[in-house]
Amino acid sequence: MISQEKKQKISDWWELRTGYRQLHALFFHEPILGGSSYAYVFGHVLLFVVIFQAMTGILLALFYSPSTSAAWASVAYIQDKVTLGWFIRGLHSNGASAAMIVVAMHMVQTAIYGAYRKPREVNWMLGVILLVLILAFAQTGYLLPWDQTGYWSTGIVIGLIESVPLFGDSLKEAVQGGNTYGNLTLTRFFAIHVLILPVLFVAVLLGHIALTRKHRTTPPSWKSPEKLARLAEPFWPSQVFKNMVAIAFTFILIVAATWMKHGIELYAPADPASFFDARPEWYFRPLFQVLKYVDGIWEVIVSLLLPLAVIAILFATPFLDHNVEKSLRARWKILTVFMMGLVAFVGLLVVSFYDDRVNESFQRRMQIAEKQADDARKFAYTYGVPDAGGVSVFTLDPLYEGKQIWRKHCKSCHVGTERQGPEIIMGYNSRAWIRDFLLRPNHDRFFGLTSIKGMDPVEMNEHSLESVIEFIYRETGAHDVNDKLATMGERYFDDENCSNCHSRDWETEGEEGPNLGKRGSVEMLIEFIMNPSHPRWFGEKNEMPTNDLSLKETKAVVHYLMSLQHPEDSFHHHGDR
Amino acid sequence: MSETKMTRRGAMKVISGLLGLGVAAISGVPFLRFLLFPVGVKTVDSGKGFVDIAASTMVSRNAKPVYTEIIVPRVRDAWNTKTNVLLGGTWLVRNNRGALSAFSSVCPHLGCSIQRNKESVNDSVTFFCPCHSSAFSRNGERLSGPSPRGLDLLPVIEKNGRILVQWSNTVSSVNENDQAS
Ligand code: HEM
Ligand code: FES
Repeated sequence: MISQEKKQKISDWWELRTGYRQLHALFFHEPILGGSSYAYVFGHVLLFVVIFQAMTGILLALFYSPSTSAAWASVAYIQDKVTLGWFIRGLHSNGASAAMIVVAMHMVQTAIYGAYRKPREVNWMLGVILLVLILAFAQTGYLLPWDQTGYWSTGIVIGLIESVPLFGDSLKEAVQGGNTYGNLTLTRFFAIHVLILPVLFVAVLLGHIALTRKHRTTPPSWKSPEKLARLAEPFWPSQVFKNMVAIAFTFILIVAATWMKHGIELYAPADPASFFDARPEWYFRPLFQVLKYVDGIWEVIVSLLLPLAVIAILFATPFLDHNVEKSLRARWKILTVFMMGLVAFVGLLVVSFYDDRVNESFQRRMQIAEKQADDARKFAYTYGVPDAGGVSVFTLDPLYEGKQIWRKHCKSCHVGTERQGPEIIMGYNSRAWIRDFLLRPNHDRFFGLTSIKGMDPVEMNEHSLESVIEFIYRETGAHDVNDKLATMGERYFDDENCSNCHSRDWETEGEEGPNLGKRGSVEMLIEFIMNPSHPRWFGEKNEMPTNDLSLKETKAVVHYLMSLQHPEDSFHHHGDR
Repeated sequence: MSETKMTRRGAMKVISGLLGLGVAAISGVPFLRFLLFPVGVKTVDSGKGFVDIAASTMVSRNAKPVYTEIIVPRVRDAWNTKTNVLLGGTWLVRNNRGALSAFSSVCPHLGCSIQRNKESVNDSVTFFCPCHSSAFSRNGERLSGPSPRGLDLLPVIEKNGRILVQWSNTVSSVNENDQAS
């Protein structure tokens, strides 16, 4: 143990050179009027979250690469390859959410305590600047992964900026770095996010904290001065203790949320040619929601003026409320405005999420988007992302060539409302598809849009139907066939008139209906696509044009068609893009 | 009274410290593991296979050394897979018994590019390094200069009339081989 005397000497040495005792006293021994309280923890929790963000942010920056070709790939690498990368990335994102919540609580507390009033006006105003900076952090960070959601929702914000009267165009070009979205957008957002904002933030924060030390914590106005003096306590250790409890609690929440949800989503790489339902982070949802209710000139006014108005009101708060009386009752007007603002924020937030939840087509599109994201990440994980980066990851898809050919030569007639032939989408030639076909062959999904009308709906009991389906399913060469059932189906097929019109031997030609031998198998599909009016199938009734695909191309597209049969194997699809 | 107050204050100090330590430890472990991820990981992988670089007929017995680039079909560099990547060069030499050697063009001294000696001031100097003037013989032995050893050899094979080499950053040197034999 160091002796008391020695301690004193060391302390004196340092005091002479740094004068640290004054600082120490200022931060640890200043009395808090009315005593320590959990009401005062929010600023400190916020300080913790901000430092935590800086640490996780620096870690991410060790792997992140800001360019349109590398951004998504590097984030996918963090997410799926780097040890605990998904966790660190999740912490950084959830930490931002936590900062938003704690900032709101911090503001509510300081507002209720009247801590914006004389002489703390400047402190409050510095706080509002910090709020703006925090929002800017979130906005710039969201784009950095260059995934679908960041790309499309930042696009909306840039659109808003463009709508600024007079110099909107120049402002847009300054923000996005040139005439359109690209590499310069990312380098800009990255520099703002990791260099410019942190410098500004630290500078303002130092002022903010220094002023809280100068003015000390605002005590509750509802206690008498005598009582406040009597209950006064120094900051250390009782307030520190409460702060630490709150910090540990916040930390556990961030860690638990991140761990249990396995980090956060990474969507597919930004794809300018796709349709993506852009949704901002939850804390920007209220503004997003408001914009749904207005259009035309009002959209511009609301989107630009509403945030400005909110910031302006916050900024001016110390001057809007200059009543000498400090009690809550005397300040009811401004507190009511705050309350209403908060209620509106939460209300819009809830409505926005509710709207999405009940919007079925949105949900369906999200499912496709998630599947795409899944595929993109698996390809990137397995093969690495090609130099071109971003969406080129899909070229690694074993089905890529087939899908491209499908899109160019086949899709317009087989998918969508402008179809001219039977619908061919996920589930084509699955058992469910065969069943539906047998029960209503003339429905729009099948031959309804063609002039082939020869077949009547199949009428048989469920058991026979099931076995016939299995038989037809077996012809496709599927790997999961119930052979016994299929053989039974074959018998029903012959007994129940099906065979009046259809052969099932692959050889016979020119019958009423197409020959069903090997129907839906690789071999049959290749031959059919190369020669759709072959007499083995539709002969003269055929309406599908012959195309000039090579054998190799035909094989590729058939490979894709076969993949539709088993929608469960998600690795091979990324939906109908 | 004052004594119990002392212990209460003491407890608050200790618990504050413990909470701080707990937060630091729980975040510190994943932070460190994330930070140290690249240690021991092959972040850049150009594959282990041999790369086809030239036709065997390009290098004849006792002829001048031939320089060829080594272009690897596929290199995985962290998140990227790059195709046809130029990794480096090699000097090919065939001796009078027909045996083929492939020398890495990277100087064993500090990594400049080895060049062929065109001036032939001294007949025995076939290769030299322009940076600090290390000189090497046709067999890759060090003749003079600061290089610590002879030229580095790349594994080479000939198959179906083609020359294939294996690129690697850890190379064996001529001199070491000589000493071993
Ligand atoms: C965004 C990051 C922010 C951080 C890291 C932060 C941090 C802090 C800290 C550490 C304190 C000292 C608390 C105490 O000792 O009692 C404090 C006090 C204060 N903050 Fe913030 N703050 C932030 C944002 C804001 C915002 C957005 C506002 C309001 C618009 C605000 C208004 C205040 C006020 C008025 C005080 C004095 C509290 C009092 O007198 O009791 N701060 N802040
Ligand atoms: S690098 Fe070749 S001699 Fe120094």
